[in-house]
Amino acid sequence: MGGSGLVVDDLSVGYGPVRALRRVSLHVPEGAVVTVLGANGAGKSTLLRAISRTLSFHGGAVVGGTVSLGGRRLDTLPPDRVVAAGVSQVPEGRQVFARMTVADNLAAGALGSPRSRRAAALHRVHELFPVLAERARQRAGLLSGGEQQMLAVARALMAAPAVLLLDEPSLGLAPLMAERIAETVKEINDQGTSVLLVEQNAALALRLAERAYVLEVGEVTLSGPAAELAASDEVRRRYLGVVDEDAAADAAEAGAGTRTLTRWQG
Amino acid sequence: MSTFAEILLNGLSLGSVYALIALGFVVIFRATEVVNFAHASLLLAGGYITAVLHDDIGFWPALVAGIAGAALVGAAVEFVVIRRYRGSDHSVLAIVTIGVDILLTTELTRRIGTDVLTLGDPWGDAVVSVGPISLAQTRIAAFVTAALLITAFLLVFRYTSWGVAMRAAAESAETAALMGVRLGRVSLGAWAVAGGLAAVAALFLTVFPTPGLERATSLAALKAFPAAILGGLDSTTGALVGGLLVGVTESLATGYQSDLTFLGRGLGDLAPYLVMVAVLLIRPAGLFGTKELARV
Repeated sequence: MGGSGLVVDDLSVGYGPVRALRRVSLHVPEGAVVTVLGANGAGKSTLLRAISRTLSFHGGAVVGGTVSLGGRRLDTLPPDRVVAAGVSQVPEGRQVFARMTVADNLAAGALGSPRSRRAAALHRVHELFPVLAERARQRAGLLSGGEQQMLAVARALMAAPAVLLLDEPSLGLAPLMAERIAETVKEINDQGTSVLLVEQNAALALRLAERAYVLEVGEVTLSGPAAELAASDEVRRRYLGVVDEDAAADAAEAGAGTRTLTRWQG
Repeated sequence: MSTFAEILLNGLSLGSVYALIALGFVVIFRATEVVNFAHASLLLAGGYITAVLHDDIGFWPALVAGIAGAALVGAAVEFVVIRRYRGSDHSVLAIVTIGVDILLTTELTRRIGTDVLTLGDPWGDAVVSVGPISLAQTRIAAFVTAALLITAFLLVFRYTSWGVAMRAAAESAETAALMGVRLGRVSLGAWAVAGGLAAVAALFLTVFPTPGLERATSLAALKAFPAAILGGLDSTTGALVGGLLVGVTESLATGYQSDLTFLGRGLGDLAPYLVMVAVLLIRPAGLFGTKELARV
């Protein structure tokens, strides 16, 4: 793996005696969207926490391996320096500051970056999410789930990161809103920000990403170009919910048109 | 009627001083989730520094030194003690602050001994009379100073980056860390600010009509605890309202003591706690506190 972009090399993480990640390696090249798929408890959030250096809040620690951005080690820095180095995370479950206004939430997002860049960052997020400009004086806790997710993404963008870490951005959102978030991720990426996307919604993630990794019980079991993974039987069966070839064909056909529910044949 | 007005105004003045102490208490609680039982000793430290220095360097420089000194002691407590325990149980930390309080208070009362130290304030025992109402200048100075300080603090809290960082850290330390907030700095700043506010409060707890700084001053400072608690431990508004409520109650209870002799003496010292208990019975989270939300 080259020195450019975000490189996770041979990373192992433990929570006390429990090993949550085992020798995980992945690479987010500059300007790419990379996704990590996996079931609950596979270690997806742990991976992001290890990158953003917030494992200590959960009693975890990196026990081996390295994380670096553009050749610079991140795994020895405190969380604020990781942000300053250009990696921002949108935490799972949005975690907006509910008692603060939308404007203050965005201001909080900019705390880790130089003052001079704030105006430009604010302009950018207001362009991406006009609704946040309209609701600037409202308390974040009063926004809808989708708006809160937009705010969480916008808040992370306020630090003008080189790499955006997204933890389950579509979780708990209506399909239309999930779609809207997906478009935004694409847009953010087009503006030059690399994205590491952790998702349970594999269909959505594989569509957005160029490369994908599958994490199972703390280990990378599959990786490759997203299109290849989307076509592999293993991924289709486990993460896209496709049961057999006929159903797969159906699903492919139905992809563009309307879908109907069929009896579950588990 | 004029007696009532005087008692009320004195109560508001005293309450604004309690509010200063309670505000520091709340700031520490919000930034670090630690209930700081060492707060009274921070206050004593600030007052002591001012008392010792005012003869040599004059009152105002001594006051500044007292404020800086108490801020420094607060920051030192955070840096030396609280920081080492970060991540451990907050109730453990609260008990650690009791230990810190015992150490600091013991040393300070040893130095103060049986003396009553004056802080050399410029107001002395001068009284201002407006119509039938007479008020000590010190009480007016206390109220005006507290009001200015509290307003300034709230503006900073609301509009500066430090304020945003502080509020973000109070809502969720982990998420704040993800935003690049340096939690160590926020916590250090909170302890220093609380110490500084306590030093100002020390001045106004020891000026006329109180004799001066003595061992018992830290007991007077303890009345800010019910103020912070009845207002809601995590609410700055609560600290203000709680402080005023406690001040007025104490003043009324002391002022009308002669009508209340059937309750025995010393009601003024007891009243703040009675109010606190009464409020907590009706609103367990305090007047403005966030209710503890438990997910099941």
